[in-house]
Amino acid sequence: MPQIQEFNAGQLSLRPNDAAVEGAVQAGRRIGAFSQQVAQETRQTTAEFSGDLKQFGRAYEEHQTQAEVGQGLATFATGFNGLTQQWNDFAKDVDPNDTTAGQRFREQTVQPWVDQFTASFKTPAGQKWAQAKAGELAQHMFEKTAADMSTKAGDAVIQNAETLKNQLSQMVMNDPSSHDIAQETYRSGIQALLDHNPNLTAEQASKISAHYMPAGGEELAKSAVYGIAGNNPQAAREALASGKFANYLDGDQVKALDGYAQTVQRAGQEAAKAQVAEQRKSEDDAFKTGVGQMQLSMVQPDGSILPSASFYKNVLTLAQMPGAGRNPAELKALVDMAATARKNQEDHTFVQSDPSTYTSLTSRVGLPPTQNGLSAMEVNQAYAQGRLSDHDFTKLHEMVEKAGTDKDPAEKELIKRRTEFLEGMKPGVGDVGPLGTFLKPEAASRFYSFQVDTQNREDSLRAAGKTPAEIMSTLYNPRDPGYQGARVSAYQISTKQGLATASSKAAGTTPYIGPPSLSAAAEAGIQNAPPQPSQPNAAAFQKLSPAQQAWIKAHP
Amino acid sequence: MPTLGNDLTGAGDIVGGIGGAVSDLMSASGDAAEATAYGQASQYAAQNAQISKESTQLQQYQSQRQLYQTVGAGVAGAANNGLTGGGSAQDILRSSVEQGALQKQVIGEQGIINETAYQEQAAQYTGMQKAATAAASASTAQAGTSLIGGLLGGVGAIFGL
Repeated sequence: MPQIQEFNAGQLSLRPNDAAVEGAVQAGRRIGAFSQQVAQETRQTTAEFSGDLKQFGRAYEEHQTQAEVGQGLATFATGFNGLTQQWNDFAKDVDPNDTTAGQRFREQTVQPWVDQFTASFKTPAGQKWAQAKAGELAQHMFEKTAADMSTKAGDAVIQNAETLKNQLSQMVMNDPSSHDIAQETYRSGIQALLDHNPNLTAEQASKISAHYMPAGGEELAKSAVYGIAGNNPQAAREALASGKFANYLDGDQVKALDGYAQTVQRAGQEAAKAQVAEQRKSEDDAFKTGVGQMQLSMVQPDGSILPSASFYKNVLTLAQMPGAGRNPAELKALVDMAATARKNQEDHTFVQSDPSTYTSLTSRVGLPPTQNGLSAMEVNQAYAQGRLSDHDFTKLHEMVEKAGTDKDPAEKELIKRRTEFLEGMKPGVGDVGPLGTFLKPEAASRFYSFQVDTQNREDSLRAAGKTPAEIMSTLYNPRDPGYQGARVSAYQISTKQGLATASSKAAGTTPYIGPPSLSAAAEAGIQNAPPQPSQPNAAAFQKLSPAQQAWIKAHP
Repeated sequence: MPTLGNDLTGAGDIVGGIGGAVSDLMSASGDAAEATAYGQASQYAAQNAQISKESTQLQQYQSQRQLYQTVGAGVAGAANNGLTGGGSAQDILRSSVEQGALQKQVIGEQGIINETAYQEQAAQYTGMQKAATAAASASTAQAGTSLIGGLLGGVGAIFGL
């Protein structure tokens, strides 16, 4: 049998190859890793470069910032000082009651400066610094302006409170019945002042309230008491005792005000007394003025004294004046003086002044009443006693009137100076006793002449337009050529004259001793003889008796 | 307010941004290439699975043929010896058939195992491809972000924003 061979392919097998897979995977992994590495290195390189750039930029920025801040510090300090000064100037004139002043200054002055300051910075850090400093400045200015305005607001409230208190106090003083409403007005007014001032701090408001509420109440209560006491002190005391003001016054104050009311009571009583005294003085003055007018009315144009026809009628009117009852001696002296004048007129008696009386009276001119100053009444009395001539009567009245008035101090000073001068000249004329009177009658007569001479020189200077001060500096100034004291030696009584006088006295006669002769004056070394004593005028001379006229002619 | 310091700082930021963008693009490019490689690996694995399948079929066919040859030879030998299919010859033939069936089954199972492994491998690489592709996309997007960020940072630094 044929052998048929069967082909046998053997163990055929398809085997998958992982190499391609592995290769692709490896390639993918390598590519991924490599690309990541490249990317990482690229990232790192650019990051480093970026970092370097930024670091350089920051360094430059810091440098710029330092420069800006350095300059900004100076600007800031200057601006700070300037704003503070501006605020001080602004606040100095601002109305304390202006509640928007601080905010206005901050908005109109501080904020523009802050904006300009911060805008001048370019770097972020510089701007940040500038804004921080500007913030500090704004905060400081806010606190300062607020504090200053608060202080001013406090001052304004205090001032307004004081004004309110004073006005209400015055109102209550004038009208004590308004006390209660004044208290309420004051309390609500202060509260309103405190409530409606936004610049006032709570502490200030508390302090002001704590001080001014009770202080105002006390002030108003006191004013009420003063006002009541001014009208009725007893009512004030009763009001205090009733406790009406207990809410406003403590015990010590009530006691003090009660004492005040008592004082007012006493003062009222004293015032009433003083008013009576003043009334009496006024009446006395009116009466004495009337007396003086009647005295003047008796002086005739020729210098003689003669009461008019209506004199006694006027005396009756004077006697009915309120002051007459307290001054009977004044009225009596006037009437006596008028009677003497009329008698002299009727008897044709020419009265010469008694030198001692005249000297005594003139030495008291200008002295105050407490020092025995000469009064008009005493002049009248001396005239009534026949111790004064008409001329000297008038002259003494003039002196008394001038010395008694306060209208012309220079005239008073002249009288005072003349009196002192004459008193000092007495020893130059004759011996003077302890009481200021001459020991020898002829000395008194000579001194009288000296006084008349002095008065005449004063009258001459006055007629020449000299003022009292000029008269003083001429007559009573030892350094002046016209010094009246230089002429006193001409009136000095000599031993011979003294003996003659003594013998005359012994014979019972006391002649009038006139002024020394020209030769005597020449002996005394006086170039210009002193003027003669005043002589009666022609009309009066004609009225004298023949004996009197002869005597006068014998004694020029 | 632009200043030189700000300009430099801004430039640094821009450079940093550009550098970041470039590196991200590079990374994206690498990821894309990696994805491509994984894609190819996946294809290769899929092809391996197919090959493995075909190889299994081939082995089963050869095993079946070998079994036929063996059983045919056994039948022929038994017939030559006058055997009618009973007794020991029959037992031997039966055993050969059983061994053949077993071999075929084992070859089939092994083939399935191999095919499945390659399919899994292909799926795995496909997944890796997708992941790499996604990474590339992300890096590309990151590049844009880095560039924009760098530019904005630079402009901001320049103008002090």
